[in-house]
Amino acid sequence: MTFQKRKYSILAIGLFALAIAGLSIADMFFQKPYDGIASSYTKGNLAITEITPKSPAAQAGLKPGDLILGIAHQIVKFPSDAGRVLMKQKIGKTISYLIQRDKRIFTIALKLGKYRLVSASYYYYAIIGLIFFLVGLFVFLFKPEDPAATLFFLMNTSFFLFLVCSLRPYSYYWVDWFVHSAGTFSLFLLPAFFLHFFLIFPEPKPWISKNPKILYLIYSLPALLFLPNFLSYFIKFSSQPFLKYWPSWGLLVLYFTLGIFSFIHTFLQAKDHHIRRKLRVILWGIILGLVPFIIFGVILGSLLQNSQYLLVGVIPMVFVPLSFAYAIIRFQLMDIDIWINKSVVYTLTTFIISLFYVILIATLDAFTSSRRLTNSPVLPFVLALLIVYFFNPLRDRIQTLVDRTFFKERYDYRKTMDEISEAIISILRLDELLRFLINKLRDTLRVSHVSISVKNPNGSNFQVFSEDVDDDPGSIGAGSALIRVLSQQRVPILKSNLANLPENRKLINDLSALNSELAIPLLYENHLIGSIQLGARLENASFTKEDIQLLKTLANQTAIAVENATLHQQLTHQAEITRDLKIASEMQDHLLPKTHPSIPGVEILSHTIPAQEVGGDFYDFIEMAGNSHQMGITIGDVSAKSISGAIAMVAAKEIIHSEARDHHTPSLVLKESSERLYGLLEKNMFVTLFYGLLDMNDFSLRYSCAGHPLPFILRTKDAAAFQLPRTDVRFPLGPIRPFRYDEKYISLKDGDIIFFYTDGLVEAMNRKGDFFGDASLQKVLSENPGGSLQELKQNIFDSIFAFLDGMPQNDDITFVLLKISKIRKS
Amino acid sequence: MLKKLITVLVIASALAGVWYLFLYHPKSVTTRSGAAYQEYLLGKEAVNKLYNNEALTHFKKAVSLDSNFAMACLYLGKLYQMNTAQKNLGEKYLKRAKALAPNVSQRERWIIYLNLAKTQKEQNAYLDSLLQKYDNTIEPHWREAAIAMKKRDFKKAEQEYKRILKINPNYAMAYNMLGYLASQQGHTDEAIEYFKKYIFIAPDEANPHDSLGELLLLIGRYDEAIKEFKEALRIRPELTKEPSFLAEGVHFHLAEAYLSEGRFKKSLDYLAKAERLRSRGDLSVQVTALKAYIFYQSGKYRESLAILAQGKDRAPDLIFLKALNAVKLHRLQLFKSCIQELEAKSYQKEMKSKGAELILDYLRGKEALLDHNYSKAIPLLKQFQKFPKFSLFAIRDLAWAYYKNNEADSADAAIQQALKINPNSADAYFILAKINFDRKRYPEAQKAIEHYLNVYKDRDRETPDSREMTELLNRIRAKKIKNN
Repeated sequence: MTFQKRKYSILAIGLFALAIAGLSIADMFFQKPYDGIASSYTKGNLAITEITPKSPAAQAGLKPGDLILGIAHQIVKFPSDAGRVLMKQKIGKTISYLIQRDKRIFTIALKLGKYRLVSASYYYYAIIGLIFFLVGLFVFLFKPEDPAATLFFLMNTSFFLFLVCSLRPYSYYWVDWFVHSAGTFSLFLLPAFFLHFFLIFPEPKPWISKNPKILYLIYSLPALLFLPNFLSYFIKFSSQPFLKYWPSWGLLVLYFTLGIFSFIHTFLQAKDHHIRRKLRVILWGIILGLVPFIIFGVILGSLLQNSQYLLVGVIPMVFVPLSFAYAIIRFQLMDIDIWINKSVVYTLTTFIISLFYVILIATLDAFTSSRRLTNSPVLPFVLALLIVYFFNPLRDRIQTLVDRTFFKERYDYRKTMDEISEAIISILRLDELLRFLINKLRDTLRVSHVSISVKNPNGSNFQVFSEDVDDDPGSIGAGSALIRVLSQQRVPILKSNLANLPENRKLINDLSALNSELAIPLLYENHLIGSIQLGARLENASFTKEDIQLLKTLANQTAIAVENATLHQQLTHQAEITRDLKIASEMQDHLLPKTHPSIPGVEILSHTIPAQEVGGDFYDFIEMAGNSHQMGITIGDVSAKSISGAIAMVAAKEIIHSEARDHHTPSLVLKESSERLYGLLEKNMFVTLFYGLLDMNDFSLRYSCAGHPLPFILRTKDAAAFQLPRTDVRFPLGPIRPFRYDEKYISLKDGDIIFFYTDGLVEAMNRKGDFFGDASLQKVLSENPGGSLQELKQNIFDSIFAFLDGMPQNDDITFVLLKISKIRKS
Repeated sequence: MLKKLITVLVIASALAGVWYLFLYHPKSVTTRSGAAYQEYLLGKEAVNKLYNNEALTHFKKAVSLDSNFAMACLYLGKLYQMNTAQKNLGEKYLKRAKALAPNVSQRERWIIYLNLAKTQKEQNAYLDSLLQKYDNTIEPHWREAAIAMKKRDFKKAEQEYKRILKINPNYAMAYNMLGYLASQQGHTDEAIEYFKKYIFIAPDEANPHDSLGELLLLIGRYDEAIKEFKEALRIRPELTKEPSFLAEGVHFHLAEAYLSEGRFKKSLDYLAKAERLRSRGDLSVQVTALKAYIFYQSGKYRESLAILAQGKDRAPDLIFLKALNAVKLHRLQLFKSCIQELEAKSYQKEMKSKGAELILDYLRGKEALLDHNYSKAIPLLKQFQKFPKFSLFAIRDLAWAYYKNNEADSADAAIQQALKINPNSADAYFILAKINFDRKRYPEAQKAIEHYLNVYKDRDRETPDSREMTELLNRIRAKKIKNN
């Protein structure tokens, strides 16, 4: 049977039961012929036990103790016989009664009156029955696919039929047979439904799942008891009501007891506090509702034939449906999420209180009507004061009570979500924000798993942070199905809503990989910057529309918060970088020589233009102790441009300085410096260096080079510029340990300008992407044979900046100009 | 496919069940005509009400509507057979019923064969079969009761009638029969209850009132009895016009009631009506006997004998009355010849079926009394005490026999017992007065005489008994005056 057919079949059964119950209730209200006699079967005769005053029987002269031998020309023996005969008569008809009083037998004519069978207790049974039915119907309509909901509906319908159809008095109309049969039939099914329901609610017992055939036994026992009884009623046409059939009552007691114990076991086994809370309500409901019924209604009433306490047993039954209703509203029992419109409840509360006030005023009015107080103007004033001062506070108190009773969970839930919203916008640290969100969402929504993905700045993937934010995050590619769908559709994705189609497979896999049932996109300016993934809810609850709506709102705020945190992180990082660079810049500033050494015949001019806050270039002039005509000149470039680069620069400069003082050959200086710098520098950091030893005695320059651009010599007399000859070994200092460096020697002429520079000069790039290059430098130098160093410097600047044409320099530019002037020895 | 089939079967069964339980009203007999069936039911109703003429009309109609209606033929044949003039017609229909028997239901077939069985053995066989298989139907039990009644096994008869009431608490005739049984056994209150129930269930029938009237007559409530009989005639005016067993019976009973009050003229009038309304002659003997008895009571013994001589029937009742008249006329030879006639073998069978051995015993007792052999007379006369109706009749002779046998207390006890049955028994007061007078217990005698005269306060003539009582009363009063 398809799901729809099954649903409609069950509904049809419920409607049929409702129709029969309606018939029973209507029958109670129809006027029936009435004689005013209460009788009982005593010692083989139908004896009058009571005559209603002013009834037709009283007017006819009948008395308690009279024996009724016949009614309307039919012999009667049992009250049921009398009832059947009466019901065939018309109201107002005069019929004859054959009466035996003492030993005298005579006939009395009696004009039938009218009355309705309905009584206060039947009203109550009908109302409780209707409550049972409506609660059951409501649950079934909400969850038609849930077997527990179906059983709950059938069980409640059985209760309904039992209360309305079995507990009604006999009216002896044709309706009786239908209605009492339905009631008895429901009474046989009710225990089985009850036991079955509590064996699978809230979760099926494991042994039921393993042995479903046990259910056949549960249902077959009542059927075995019912069928022969039912058939014998028809075959014998007995007038005895077959409710008084003790095996069926015994089975009812047994099944009810088993069901209650099963539920108690479920309750005790429940570990989760929330589950126990909702089950507790149900447990109290069924204990308070059914135990009195079993004692007073079944044991006393049917088995011990003492039915005077039946009402006492039935009254508390209302707790059963009410406990379920309360658990549904309060704790979303059976995962039914209904939102009772608070305004409706408040309006109702206001109405009730208003009614109370009206009654109070009316009572007061009635009380004072005959007194002088009525005419006093004080009374209306006092009443007005009462309303003004007490109405609103009373209403507020009651509304608070209503909130606490019915809406507390939901109120707490929303409150928690509001708290989350408020908190996240004040958290600036991303890790703190993620940690807070993950924990709060997990606890509030009661899910198994929470993760949040945040887009990497490079945009290539999304980092996924789960419960332990400090662990290395996982990642999910920007091209993954989940990210793609979230980006495109920008709506939450609920895994359970995804149809099992090939096109959804990847998406489902992505969600499964993240242990997610629900993914909410985080959107900032309509772009996906991340997502929140939620695992399955505990207690098999599902995500409701309201949950998703709340999460969407939260996600919007989270997106802003994440973006804020990211920006904050970037700004902080930037500020740190700036601070580092400032420190490095200051350090570098201190490293570069403030003054040039004074060596006769040598004119020095230096300049450095760092590309960033901190540059990597450095130079130094090393005076040789005890040798004033020699001077070491270093010019170098550190690969890193940060504070670590600045520190490396300090280290390199100092090492070279000290080695230069210790060794007089440039190759040895470089070799030793390389030894010392090896392992000192950070990974991937190196230093290019040119070290030249200028000797003004013989006007020579001895030099060695570690990967640095070779200086140019500008022979002013020849107006020619040429680069110094290359050394054989040119490894930069730091990354490796070369076994030796070589050195070269060049004689200098009067007027020679040695142009030391760093690669930033020749690697300056223009808009076309061309480098300035050695050739251009050579040309610039060649075109400036004479002039001062200052003029040469300016020419170089002009050439460079003309070449750059507004483009920013991509590296530091440093150069040192050294002009040699031969000084005659005196 | 299988599921659909099962569903269809279940629904069909449920519908069939509902139809069978609520809508199906099966005919209890085989006929193809609904109208014939209705006539048959009306005929049976009329039979139960003892409206045989009406029943005859309905069964005739039923047969005319369906000539193959076996049960209608059976009942029609039985009704015709009640009337001597139409016995052949009855035979014809009974034969037809027998011929149709193979085509009807088993139950009907057995009922037909049961009614047509020639031997007791055959009857018993069919009856047993019906009881075994159709125990919940009325017919077999009714037959059982009838057989028990014939055998005078009243306990068994009572059981069967009660069983019928268990099947149908409103089966009126059962109450009638139970009432008769109870009254026969002297359980007057019980009998009244049964008859009142009978009246209650069948308020439009005459027979219940007649039955109750008979009981009231027996217990001396003559005015009430007359009321009931007249009510019967009021309910069914046809009884005053159309001959029928019931019509004859009601008028006969009225005659008895008036006789009990000493209103001889009215009694004779109603007897004449009974004779006129005679249908099958069931009561012809009783009517003749009563007529003769009226004259006997009036002291006109020769006229009484003449009436008896007119009756061609040799019924024991008539011989009995002949004997009584003979005693009054001091014709002992005639008296003895009556005894001899009753003793004759030809009466053996008849005596057993009609209880005439009692009459013989009574006459022998009477003979002993005449011979002053009181000790012999007493046991013979005592037989009548088993039957309340007869015990009242025999009380005079029995009490006198006791008294003369010096068993005055027994005489008193017998009289008291008779008065217990009928507090207005003139015979009881008569003999009580005589015995007390003889014992010189004049106040008691006077009281008894006054009771006697009260019973006959509406008498339309003086009878030898009333004259005797009056004389005794005068003598008592004279003695009183003398003593004073």
